[in-house]
Amino acid sequence: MKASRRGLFPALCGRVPLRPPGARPEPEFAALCIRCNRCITACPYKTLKPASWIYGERAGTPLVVPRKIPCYLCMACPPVCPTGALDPITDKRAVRMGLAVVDPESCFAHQGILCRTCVDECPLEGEAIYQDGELKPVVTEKCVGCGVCEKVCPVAEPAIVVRPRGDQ
Amino acid sequence: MNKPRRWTPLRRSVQLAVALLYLVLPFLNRWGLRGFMGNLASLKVGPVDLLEPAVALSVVLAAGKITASLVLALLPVVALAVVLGPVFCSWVCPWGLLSEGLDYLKIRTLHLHRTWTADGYRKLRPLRMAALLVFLLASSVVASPLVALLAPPRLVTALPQELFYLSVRPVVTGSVLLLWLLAELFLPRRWVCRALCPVGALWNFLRLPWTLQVRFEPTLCVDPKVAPCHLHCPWGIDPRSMGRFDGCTNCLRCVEGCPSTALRAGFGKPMDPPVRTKKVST
Amino acid sequence: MSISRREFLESAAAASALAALSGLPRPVQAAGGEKWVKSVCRYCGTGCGLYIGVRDGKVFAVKGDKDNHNQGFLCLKGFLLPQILTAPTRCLYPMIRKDGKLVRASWEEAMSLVASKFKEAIEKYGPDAVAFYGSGQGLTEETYVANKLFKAGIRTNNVDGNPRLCMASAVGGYVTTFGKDEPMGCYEDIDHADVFLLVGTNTAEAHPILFQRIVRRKEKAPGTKVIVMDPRRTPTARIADLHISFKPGTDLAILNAMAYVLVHEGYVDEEFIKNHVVFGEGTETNKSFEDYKAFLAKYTPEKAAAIAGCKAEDIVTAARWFGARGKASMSMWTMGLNQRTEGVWANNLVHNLHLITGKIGTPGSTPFSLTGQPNACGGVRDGGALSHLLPYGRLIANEAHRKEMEKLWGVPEGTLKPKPGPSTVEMFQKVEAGEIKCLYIMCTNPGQSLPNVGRYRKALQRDDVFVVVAEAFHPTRTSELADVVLPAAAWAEKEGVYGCAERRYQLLEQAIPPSGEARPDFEILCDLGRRLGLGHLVPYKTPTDIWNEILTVCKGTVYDFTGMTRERLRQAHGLLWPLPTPDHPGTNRRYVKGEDPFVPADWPHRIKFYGRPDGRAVVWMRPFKGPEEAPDAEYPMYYTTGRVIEHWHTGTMTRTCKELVHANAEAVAELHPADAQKLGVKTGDKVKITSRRGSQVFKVKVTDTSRENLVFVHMHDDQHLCNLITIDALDPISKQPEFKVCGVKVEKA
Repeated sequence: MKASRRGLFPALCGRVPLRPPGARPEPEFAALCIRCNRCITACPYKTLKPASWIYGERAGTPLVVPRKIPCYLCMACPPVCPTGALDPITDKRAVRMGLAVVDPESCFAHQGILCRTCVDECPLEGEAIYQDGELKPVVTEKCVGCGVCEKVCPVAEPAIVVRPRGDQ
Repeated sequence: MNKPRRWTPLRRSVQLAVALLYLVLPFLNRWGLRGFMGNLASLKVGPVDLLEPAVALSVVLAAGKITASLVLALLPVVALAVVLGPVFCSWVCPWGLLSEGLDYLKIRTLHLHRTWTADGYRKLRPLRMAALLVFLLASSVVASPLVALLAPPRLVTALPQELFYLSVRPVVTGSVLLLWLLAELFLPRRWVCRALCPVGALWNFLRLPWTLQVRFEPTLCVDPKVAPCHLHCPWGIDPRSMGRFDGCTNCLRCVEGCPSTALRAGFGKPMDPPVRTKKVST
Repeated sequence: MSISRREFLESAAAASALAALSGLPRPVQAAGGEKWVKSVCRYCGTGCGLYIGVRDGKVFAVKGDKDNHNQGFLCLKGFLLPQILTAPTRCLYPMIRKDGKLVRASWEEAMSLVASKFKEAIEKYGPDAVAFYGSGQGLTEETYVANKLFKAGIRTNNVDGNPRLCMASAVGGYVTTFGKDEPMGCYEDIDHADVFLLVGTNTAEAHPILFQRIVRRKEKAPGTKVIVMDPRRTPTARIADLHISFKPGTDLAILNAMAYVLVHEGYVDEEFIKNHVVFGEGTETNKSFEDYKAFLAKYTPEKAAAIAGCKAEDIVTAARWFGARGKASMSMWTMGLNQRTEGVWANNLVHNLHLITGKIGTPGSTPFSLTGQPNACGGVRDGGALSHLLPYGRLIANEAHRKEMEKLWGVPEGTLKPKPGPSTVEMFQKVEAGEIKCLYIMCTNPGQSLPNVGRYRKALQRDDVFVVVAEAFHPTRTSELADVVLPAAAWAEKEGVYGCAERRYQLLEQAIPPSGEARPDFEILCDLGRRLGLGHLVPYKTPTDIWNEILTVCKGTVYDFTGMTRERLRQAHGLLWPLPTPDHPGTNRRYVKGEDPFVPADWPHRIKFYGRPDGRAVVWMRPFKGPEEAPDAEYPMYYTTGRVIEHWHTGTMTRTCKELVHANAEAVAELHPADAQKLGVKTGDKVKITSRRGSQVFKVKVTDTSRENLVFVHMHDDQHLCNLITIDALDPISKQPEFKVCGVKVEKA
């Protein structure tokens, strides 16, 4: 896609929101989303919120702030999208919202402090994130980006965060 | 001669019912109703998806593609528009109701003339088209459906949703709505609906020659020279001289106000070429 | 002179920083600098060594001790320990209940009230009207003082402690099978094991550092097999090569069936059995191997699988892996086996597997009980601070033992009462019945941790019961019920010894002075002793005084650690007893010739179970009976409780750490998706769990970690008491309650 079609404000502020499960890749999602709030209404966990003005013209589109409420992969939202901005998938393992990234600088496990909260809480139970021989968390390609790990990370500024797959 | 039917009470009831529905819907959704959800950008009624055409067009331009689900959701709404005309603005849209109310208050409190210039509606036509074009072009440029983001019908129905169901601070929706309210107050009468709203503009273009419309039978007119038809019209349109794309929303206020039966709503043969009356100055 | 002195101090500061980095013991305090004080983690029974960093009189960090068994690793809880010292819930001054409210008081006021109440109760109703309830978290010296003060001073055997709730069945298992308490193996066995049998333990969460060691062993030796037997698919089960999920309370059938396979498929070490094993049933050891075979006939894998709701072939696989010749097999267990009405029996059955295959006493082969508290082994089990015990393996019921202790303690013959006192639950039942008038609770939280806790909370609230709680934190669910709350010095604010799961004794040095008006528990107890006119029994000025006395008490027992002088403990990074002389290195594997100083050098075999008079261990025939309260039509689901990695015990400490609370805010009811669907609930909804004893509302977490028809709740939440629901039925031998199994009904709330 041409640079101009990637959106103006996101290009300026560099913020890419984490999208609901099933979301099309980013420029397309923002183009297809009509802010009907139906996915937000469908979410039983109040995970999805409309984006604010800091996302420029993408304001009003649904996003996930995992540190507040992560996605629990109940898959209630993809089928309600009227425009195809969300693919109507039902398999939580097919979700590709983002990819969790561990910050070795602040992760307790990387400092020799045994912490396995992210591994224990991961809904994919060992598939998306596992502990290596030194019990450091390792994220695999199977990570769906639900953000539960980011939510529960005990470090004040979470040491594991979900990078949206959006514009990558 | 039969007295023409009183349309306004019916129209008000429909408008109020829609507005009320959107106020109550968040609570119904919260209590578990899932069969009916959304706002005036898109609605889900049972298994049927409905999509607002201007929003849909803006999506197509932003995304540069058309999806099947989009077309499917559009069909019932376009069919309604083609049969009944742009009734969305006058019968459905809660912003339309709000706008009419504000217009009434504006006239009362500011003691404005209740009158319209007879051909003002015709001068607004280019502005309305320009506004629609700007919305659509801009959507394409920034790759984001701006009609969905900015059009009043969605905003006014999303507000209760965000306040009462989603428990989020409606910063985006609220701020844009505030701008529209200011526009409503400080711009000429009903410019938001008549000239700026892309939704009404597009509905207006969905008219076919046989779409429901007000037709004028000059031979029945009591007094063609001083007839106050356009003064009844909430948008100041003279039904005797209007063209197909001049903005009439089939509110039928003029039909109701016509002392004779010269104005009638009906399908079929259009009044084309329009019967041009002489300019009536007020 | 002053300048050169400052230079000297600066160089000393640099040296101390270096010493801290390199893990050298006892770095000295430098002027204005920071010091690192050697200590041990306050939490679980793993007993990880660590250094406490002190700057400006405040603890600012901890770091793992690289020279200790944990090799510098700590879990998150341990790492965040500094936060508990400054928690807003620290108890900083004595409090007395006046007009129903706890109000601040002076030490003098509080202690004279406690002493007068105790005196009054003893004079009016006799010494058995007072009781002491201690803790596997108190320091060895503190527990010793309390034990001596109550048993020899006040002359009551009403002394018990919370290890009764966690380790009593393990004690019962070791004592009945081997004659003496405490495991014969050590942590180092993990590095040699080829097969791990983890039964009834969620090691990954309850003992993270040991779990890490297992994981490393598995990485290093890829053929290593891990068998996890647990109804839930816990994080521990995720590294398992075989996970057997079964109906709670049916593991005895599975363990017997494993023995059946071992016996019938030729995995038995007949030579070992001939030299080291006898067979027994009930309390008699007069059976033969043939009797044992006949007994096992009831437990074919198929029959056991039908009882337990698991697959017969899994039992066979587990047995074959465990019994494989030439492989070292290590079993570990915790509360899944211990907190049961058949807890001792379940322990016996694990020991059986090792005894019939001879997989014991060699590197990597050992039945190893994991301990939950940092000093349950060292302070309460070894120290004999339970109602039926005297220090270091001595029994109250044994006249010779009583006489020995009377002599050591310098009290007249006949001072010690011959009748064992009540166990924990029985003790609180005596409180409920009004027989115990004064109760001294030290460093534990029975108002949250007892089974069927609603009943015993009511007992503690009786008007005629005087409850003293010595605790570093207030309010707790116990201190809120107290008549007097005494502020105790916390970890790092006092000095003493902890003994962890592998017979490892380690010194915790004092890093900072006690907060507020808090005092070390031993000082409070000595003060009470003096006020009761028993000052001559507790004349101690420092913990070292007490330790030196303890060394005389352990001498001559099979626990003998006389060689662990205070100075040696300060230098060492943990020492394993038996350690009878100052130059003895300590004993990794007990009962093993060449390692254990109590096995004679001329003993003809490699091992001697000297705990029993015949030098042989017992293979007990223990039938499967099932839990006290299995689910029925009215209460159709199993209910079980356990730990999570983020919190510890009743959460008094961990719930003051914001990171831990963030990671795990409250106890949730873990439900299997199928059960959740039946109940019509999803994650985040609320359910009410009701048993015959009480009910509690929890948020739901739907997860296939759980087994169908089983609901799990963690035990660390003081606002959602899982123990309102648990059953207070006791193991007849160990008197440990069956926390782990009861029947409940679950409703959407």
